[in-house]
Amino acid sequence: MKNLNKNSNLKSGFKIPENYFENFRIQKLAKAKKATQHESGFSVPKGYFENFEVNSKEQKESKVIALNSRKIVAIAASISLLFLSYLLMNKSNNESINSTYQTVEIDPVLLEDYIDFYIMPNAELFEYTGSSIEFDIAENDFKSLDDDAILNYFEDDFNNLDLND
Amino acid sequence: MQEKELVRKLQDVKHKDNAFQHLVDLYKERLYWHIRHIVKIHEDADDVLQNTFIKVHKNIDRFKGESKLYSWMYRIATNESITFLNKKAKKQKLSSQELQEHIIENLASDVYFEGNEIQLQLQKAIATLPDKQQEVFNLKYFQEMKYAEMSELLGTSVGALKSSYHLASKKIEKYLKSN
Repeated sequence: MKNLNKNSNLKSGFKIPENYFENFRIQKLAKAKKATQHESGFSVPKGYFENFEVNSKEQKESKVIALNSRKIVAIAASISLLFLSYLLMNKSNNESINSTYQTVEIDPVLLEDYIDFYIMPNAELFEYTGSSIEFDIAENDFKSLDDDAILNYFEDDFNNLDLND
Repeated sequence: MQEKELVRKLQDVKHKDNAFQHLVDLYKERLYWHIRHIVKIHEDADDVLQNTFIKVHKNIDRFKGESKLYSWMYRIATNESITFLNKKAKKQKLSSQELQEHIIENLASDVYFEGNEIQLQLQKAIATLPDKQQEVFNLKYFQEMKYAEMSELLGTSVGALKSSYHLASKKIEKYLKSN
């Protein structure tokens, strides 16, 4: 490739701020590094992993539940189930239950950003690992063209190109 | 530094930051111009270039060396550019085609565009091409990439690239003549 940047600039008319490349820095890198450490939103107490150890005594001790306690739990569960059934069958109560759940509207753009950044950050990498990108050019798309006409049209720009590469 | 050595350092926690800076210095201009020809506006190209390098940094451990490092980064940059434009179109409630037309209509007043009327018309003509033909035309015409290099980059045969470029040139010629 020859004189890539100068020619790109001249041919396209695009220009860049003075010293843009000299001053180019990856500004969001520190933020991105930090973000990847907290993708879920969950955090842990300070020094949690440093101080983490498996307490073998607690693991070996099985929890003993007295028979009486089990009965109490079963009775409590039955009462809760009955109460819940009553609530669900009662229309007015249903409405009051529903009203406790407020619908939070999510900005679809923010949601998409979140999915792209956190949920599916590497979705496109499946494509990147592929060995080829298919083109939508059928063999019969090729038509014999009058190269001279094209070259004449673009004049100087085209004269610098090696069409046969 | 050889590419394999650079990749090894990029994938080594101890050397990653230094190697990454080297990578940025090495490829920022090539990637910038590739992105710029897709998104057209300097500020947008800067944003996408930043995002591209961040994605490269984040995913470098996944790079297996089955393609050249630049080819891998090029595909990331292409994808980031397209994603950026799609999001921009969605935010402005425009179709991709409408957004592209809107961007080009405003190029004349862009401080970072100093092209003449023909170059402006050329951008409009390019915008009428299918995405893949735009890509091939940009690589060949503006970046003057050799077909062999383009073939490696895009995984497409030289013959198909040549026909694509000729087809694109023909369409551009037709557009320019009729406008």
